[in-house]
Amino acid sequence: MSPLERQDRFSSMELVRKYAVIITAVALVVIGVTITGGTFLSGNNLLNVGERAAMVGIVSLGQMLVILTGAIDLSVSGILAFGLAVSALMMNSSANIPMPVVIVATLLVTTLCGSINGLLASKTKIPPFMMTLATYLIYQSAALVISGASNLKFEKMVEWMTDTFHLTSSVSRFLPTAAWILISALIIFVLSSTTFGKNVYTTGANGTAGYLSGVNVQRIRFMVYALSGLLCGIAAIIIEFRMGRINPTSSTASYQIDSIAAVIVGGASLSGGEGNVYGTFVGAFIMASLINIMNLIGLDVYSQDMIKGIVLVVFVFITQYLSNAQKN
Amino acid sequence: MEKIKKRLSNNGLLLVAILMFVLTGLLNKSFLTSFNINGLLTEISFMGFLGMGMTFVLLTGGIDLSVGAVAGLSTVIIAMTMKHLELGNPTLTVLVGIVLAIVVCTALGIGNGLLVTYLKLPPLIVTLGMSWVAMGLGQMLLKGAPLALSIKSFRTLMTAKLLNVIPVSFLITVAALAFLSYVLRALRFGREFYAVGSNKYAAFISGTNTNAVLIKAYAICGGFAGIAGLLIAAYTGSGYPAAANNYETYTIAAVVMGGTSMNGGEGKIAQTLIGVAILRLLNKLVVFSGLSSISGYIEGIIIGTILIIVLLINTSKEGEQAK
Repeated sequence: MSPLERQDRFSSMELVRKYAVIITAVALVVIGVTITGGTFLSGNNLLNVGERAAMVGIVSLGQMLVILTGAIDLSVSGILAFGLAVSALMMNSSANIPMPVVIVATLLVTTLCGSINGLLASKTKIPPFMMTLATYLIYQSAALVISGASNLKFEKMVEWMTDTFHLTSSVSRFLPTAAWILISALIIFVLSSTTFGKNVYTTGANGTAGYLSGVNVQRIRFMVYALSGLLCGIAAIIIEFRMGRINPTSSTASYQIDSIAAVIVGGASLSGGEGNVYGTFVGAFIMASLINIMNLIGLDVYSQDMIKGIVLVVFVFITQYLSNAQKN
Repeated sequence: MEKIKKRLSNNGLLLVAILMFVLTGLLNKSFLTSFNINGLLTEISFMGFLGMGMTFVLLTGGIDLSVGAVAGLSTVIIAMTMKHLELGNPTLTVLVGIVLAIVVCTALGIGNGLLVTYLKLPPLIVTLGMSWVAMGLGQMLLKGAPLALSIKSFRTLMTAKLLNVIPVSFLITVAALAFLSYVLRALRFGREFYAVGSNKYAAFISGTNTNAVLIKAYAICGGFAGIAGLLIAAYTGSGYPAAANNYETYTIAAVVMGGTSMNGGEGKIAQTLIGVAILRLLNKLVVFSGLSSISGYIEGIIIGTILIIVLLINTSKEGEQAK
């Protein structure tokens, strides 16, 4: 194959990668409308999808940063649960702690969890999936130790947010999506225009080359995990605001796989160095819509998981195949 | 000095396990009843099968997150066979159920292997997806509440105790251990796993069918998860898909603690079994020392932390950066 032909093949792969996500999204909407007879596109339902997509989406952004460096974060559900537990503990304690303090404390706690992951990722040779599997166990158990597996009450958060920001009911419903769009925009800026952003891609694509050209690979590995933790904290606050009363572990359990799925469906490669925010954004929407459609048609949890799994495997195959083909 | 060091590292884990057992007994004498020890040995036997199967996969540098779901599926299969298969002869029905469970679970394992080798998909994602498929299958078969095992003789046989303490299931596990250790050490079939795990390319160019070895590893893992499920069903007396929910994390922890390297190439089945024993003893220690009265969930934190420490020790021994 001549270099020119190879170049053409390379760019057509890129096109497929970019548009595979959009095509899937459109296909899903079409299927969704057909199966649910239009309910999917009702305003009320779309707001639901948006909310769910936003909460997973924020976590997915953190997951994306980690995956871009070639690692993975299986502990996000645990960090979320732990953040929720600490929040509830502080919020409902008799010490009457002011809400801003609770919010800051929650963010600090989740960022701390992420930083512990980051330390282990940057200073040790433990493979990321093993490491985050272990920390997932630790954070999840810690959350259960604090909250004891019963439902947590976040009414105070709901009250505080509504009063402080004078939120009406419809604005509240849009808040998660608004936050998500804002944070996505921020990360797009960071990834495209800052040295840090470029270094993240370099670390993932070829850590050794990056190191040799002066990139502090260890620091990048640490930062992405810390950021993932921070984003989990933000997601936790939003969950508290919108959910009011939830079980910390059962409602956060699917976030780890949902966030990984969103990132992969969005076109990122698990080996690092490839992927972008737009893809993860649409990916999160696709996963949320998929779950929503399956709920609307009354599919049971096990079948839903099976379908999610198949979608995940198919997309991993596509992105893997694409990146292998590009390398050849 | 070198010999002493080697002896210690080989038997060190066994020492830890014995120490933990003694410590628990000292802290709380009510631990030392035949009921408790029987329970401990039963748990070690089914977790042991999960761990032994997982060892094969980890030896080749992969991972299998579907073992919990597959074991759960196995409990459903045996329960359903007992209820619905009218063969007139209970022994025959049980045998058919056992064979069916093991065959199905091995097939799922082969599925994992095929996806990992021929489609080159990451084992993490493949086995995660497979775990959902297994859960879904289990639920489709069961359609509802847990199903009790209707043929009592199966339970009685498995839970029968030697010397009033050692259950039959434990004896089966030890027998499997002896057999597998021999296979891995002495037969070419066994040593291929180590070869593929430590240097896949070298194994490939020296003629080993690396794809076949990988598929065999996942098949064995699936089959053993099936056997584990049968033991769990015998112990609990019922079958439901979530019977072994989340067991995979503890299984991996046990295999890692046993010294098997996650990058493949090193590990022994016997060490895995000791790792399993240590984890179960840890559970008993937490319960009988009263720690679990602070919170039933403290065990998770302890195991997670120990896992990190063990991983740290394991990976600092190796020279290469693992990605």
